[in-house]
Amino acid sequence: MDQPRIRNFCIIAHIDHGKSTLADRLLERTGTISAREMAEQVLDSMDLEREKGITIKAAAARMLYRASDGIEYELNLIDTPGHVDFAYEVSRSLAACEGAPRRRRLPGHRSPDPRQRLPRHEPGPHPHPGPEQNRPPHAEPDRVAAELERVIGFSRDEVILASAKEGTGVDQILEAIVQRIPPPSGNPDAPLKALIFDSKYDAYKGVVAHVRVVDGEMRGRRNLKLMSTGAIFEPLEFGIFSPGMKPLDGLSAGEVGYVATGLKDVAECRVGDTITWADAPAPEPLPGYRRAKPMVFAGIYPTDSDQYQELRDALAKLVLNDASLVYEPESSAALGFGFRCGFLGLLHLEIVVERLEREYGLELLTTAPSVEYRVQTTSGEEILVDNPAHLPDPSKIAVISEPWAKIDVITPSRYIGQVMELVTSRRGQFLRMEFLEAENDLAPGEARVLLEYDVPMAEILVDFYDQLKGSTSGYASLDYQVKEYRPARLVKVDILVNGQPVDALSVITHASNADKVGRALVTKLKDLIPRQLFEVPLQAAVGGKIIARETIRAMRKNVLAKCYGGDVTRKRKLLEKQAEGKKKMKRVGSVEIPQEAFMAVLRLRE
Amino acid sequence: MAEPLAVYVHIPFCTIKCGYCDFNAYAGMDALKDAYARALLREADAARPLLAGRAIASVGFGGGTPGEFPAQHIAALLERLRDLAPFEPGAEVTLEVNPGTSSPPYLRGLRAAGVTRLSIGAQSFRAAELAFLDRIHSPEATAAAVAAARDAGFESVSLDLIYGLPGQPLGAWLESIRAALRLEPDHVSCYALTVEDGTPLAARIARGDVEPPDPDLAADMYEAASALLDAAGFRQYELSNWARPGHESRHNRAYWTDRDYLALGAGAHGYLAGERYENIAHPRAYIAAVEAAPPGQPRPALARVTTPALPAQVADWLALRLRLLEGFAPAEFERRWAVPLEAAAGSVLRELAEAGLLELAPRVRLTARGRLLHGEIAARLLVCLEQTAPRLPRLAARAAPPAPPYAAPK
Repeated sequence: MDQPRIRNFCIIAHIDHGKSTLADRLLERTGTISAREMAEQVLDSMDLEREKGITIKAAAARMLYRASDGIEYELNLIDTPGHVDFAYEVSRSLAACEGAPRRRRLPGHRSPDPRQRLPRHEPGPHPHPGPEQNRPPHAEPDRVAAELERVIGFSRDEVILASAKEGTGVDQILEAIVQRIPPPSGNPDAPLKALIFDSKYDAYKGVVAHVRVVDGEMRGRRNLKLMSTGAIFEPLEFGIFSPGMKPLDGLSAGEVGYVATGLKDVAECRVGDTITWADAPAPEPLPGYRRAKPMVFAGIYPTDSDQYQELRDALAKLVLNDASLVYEPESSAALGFGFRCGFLGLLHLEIVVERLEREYGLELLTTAPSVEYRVQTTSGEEILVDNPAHLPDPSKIAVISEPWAKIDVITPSRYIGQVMELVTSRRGQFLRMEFLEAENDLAPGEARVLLEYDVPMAEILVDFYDQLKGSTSGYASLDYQVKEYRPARLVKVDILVNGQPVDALSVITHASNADKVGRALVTKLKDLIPRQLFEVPLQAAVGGKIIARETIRAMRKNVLAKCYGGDVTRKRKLLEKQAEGKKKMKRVGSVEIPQEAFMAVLRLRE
Repeated sequence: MAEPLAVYVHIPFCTIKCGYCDFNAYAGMDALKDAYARALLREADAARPLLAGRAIASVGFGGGTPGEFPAQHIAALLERLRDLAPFEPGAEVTLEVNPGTSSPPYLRGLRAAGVTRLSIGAQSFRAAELAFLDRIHSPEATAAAVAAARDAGFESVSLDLIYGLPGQPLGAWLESIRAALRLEPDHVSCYALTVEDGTPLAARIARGDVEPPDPDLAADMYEAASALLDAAGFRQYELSNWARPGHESRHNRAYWTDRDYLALGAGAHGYLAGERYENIAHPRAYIAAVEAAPPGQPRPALARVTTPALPAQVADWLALRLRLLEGFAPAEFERRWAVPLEAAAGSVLRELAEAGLLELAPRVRLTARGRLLHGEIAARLLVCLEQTAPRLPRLAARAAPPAPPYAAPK
């Protein structure tokens, strides 16, 4: 289709604010999907996405819409994830489109997880303000319109009142997309430049690149080239998403679709790379993306060490669809062979582990997550440490630095005290505070306030968000941006089980917290490690000095009293359950340690 | 003649259902008893091919409350079984009664019907504990029941006791044992209170109305009971059972020693030629199934058959054998499974012996500590067998049970 009749857009909103529901309505209204085919969250094709009700992978869909001017337009929607962990996916989506209706949920509802900040610093086309709103009961549309005006700078008449749930206002949104979002501006006659914004692997078609064609066109069998890796391939198939893959002859400037590359190695076809013609390449590639930088690191081990190969294969397959996951082999004295993996955040970690277990039938053990520390050794070397077990001996450390983040907390003003207290307890430093609403218009304590702090990443990694939610009755929202590394007095707390250090249980913590953390860890482990056939001492140590101790008493009684009327089957079922439980435990020395124990550090505040 | 078998008869009726009970038992169905008795006779008749050429070594009546089932029905069933198969000399016919419903005439009726052994559900000798357990009898009623049993001519009388009740102090438990011993039973069973999912007791604990049982205190109670019973001349022969010499329950032993047992009645479990099976549980459905079954079906109320996987079969054999304090000789294992015990479970047995839970020679048996940790031992054996069994082809060959001539019609 001609560029003037193409609109590429995505929907921006906090997690669980109804992006996917609005996408459903748009697909329905444009007849892209018949009512019969309609499922909730059509674009969320992963089981996990539907179960959790969230979008993890960005997904694209082409719709044809006849606007009020009588012309039929091609609208390319890119559905995006809302959680901050997946900001990377969002930035990719934005780079592929020209505009974004921005959803703003009306107040009166607690947002379950509004961590997503609008990615305004991203490269690529400018997000065009095309806000619309949904309307929960007791919503206050006027107030929100005013807020959008003040905070983001939209004019009040740009705001469309709509409800994806009730299906109202959908036509106005479609009209606004046509009228307000500019058509793509690429040159159809220039050499091909197509941006890869996602990829997935297909056993028959190889790597399938999801692309936005900026200049030129891709068609026929003409060989194509990936500009950063130099890989050349003969395209096997072109097509669009509608929303299933629908083959076409080719794609031209302004269009969004896919190209099957036949490439077997996903590393040759990276997200962010530019595709061009092999015989007449474009002089310059498109600006790429900021590469997703893993923030959180954790070890993933098979519970059954025989599954190591399977885990390796599963990870290799998973990264084909999740370019933001990084991993490398590591080994632990306690856990054997596994992988050190880097994630975008904790939700990402949770999803990766769940996908590995579910889609590949693995039983996995995950160690406590860690940030990446920079260590300057006394010999002048700088090393990166993302696994507490690998922290050098204190005598060899000159300086340890840890990553800091700037966090923005938005909360009703009545919770300022609680937020201050929480952030201070996490070594946070207050930067500034700003009222987003005039206090005199509202009931006392209602006005929303932005609080900015610097906080060590490690402190917000684990349960900070839950604590923040808990201390503000669910009202506060959180966003963070990683800043610089700062030196800190950090020490490693080692845990000894039955006198033997268990590397996978070590944690790095601020020296002033070491005693507290050590005590909390052994207390928690005492609850999490079941009683064994013998007494098991648990100790926490810093540099060889014991700072806390607990004892797990020996198991005394585990016997089924009665076998009623010869019902051996029931007895066996109970035993099988016990045996299953045993198999899930990791044997360290002669102590059986359950998987939860390796995540104990996450649960210290329970 | 094939080896003798045991017969288990389930009587699912109760006056009230106790809060801790999750057995197949129903209150308020007394009107069904006559029809149920007829169904039992019919089911026994149908089992004729299963009994052919075999003797009956024991009959056990369990429930529910078999002691509330009319004596003439018990008599009729035992008579029918005698018509179908000879009883071995000294065959045991054991039946569970409640103290509250054990009148002298009733017990005389049972004795006359051929019941040889009574197991009396004393449970406790403290009124408050009995009330907690929803038992309808008093401590005095238990004494009266024992006296009535002796008067009726029962030479083997057992008392069942429950320990580890929420809030029960050790002293109270020992008091119940002493009270039981004063009644001079021939056999005592001590069962730890088990909180079964789905029972009213489990719900009370979940709500926080009742403390969950303390396993360490229960362990102390078990050891103290063992000492008291030993001192009184009882010998422990099974994890929960103590007897004066010669009064061990034969019927109970059948379950632990890989013997066949035939199941009669609603929800009854049986074990024939390596196959475990279970009857339809609900009394009404059971009666209907037995009445509707065409002739020639030896198990007219069959609900399901379970043939456990090979590792579970072997682990069952080991775990059940170990419930008996005499344990087993390694040669017995090899005779049954065609592979040496060492190959099947040597590593885990040695580990358990090192931990002080097992003796390995001359027989494999539980130590005093092992008796309290039988569940742990059994679970480890199962984990071990799952690893070793696939590597032992001769074991697999032995496990396949001979096709029973009386296989259930498809």
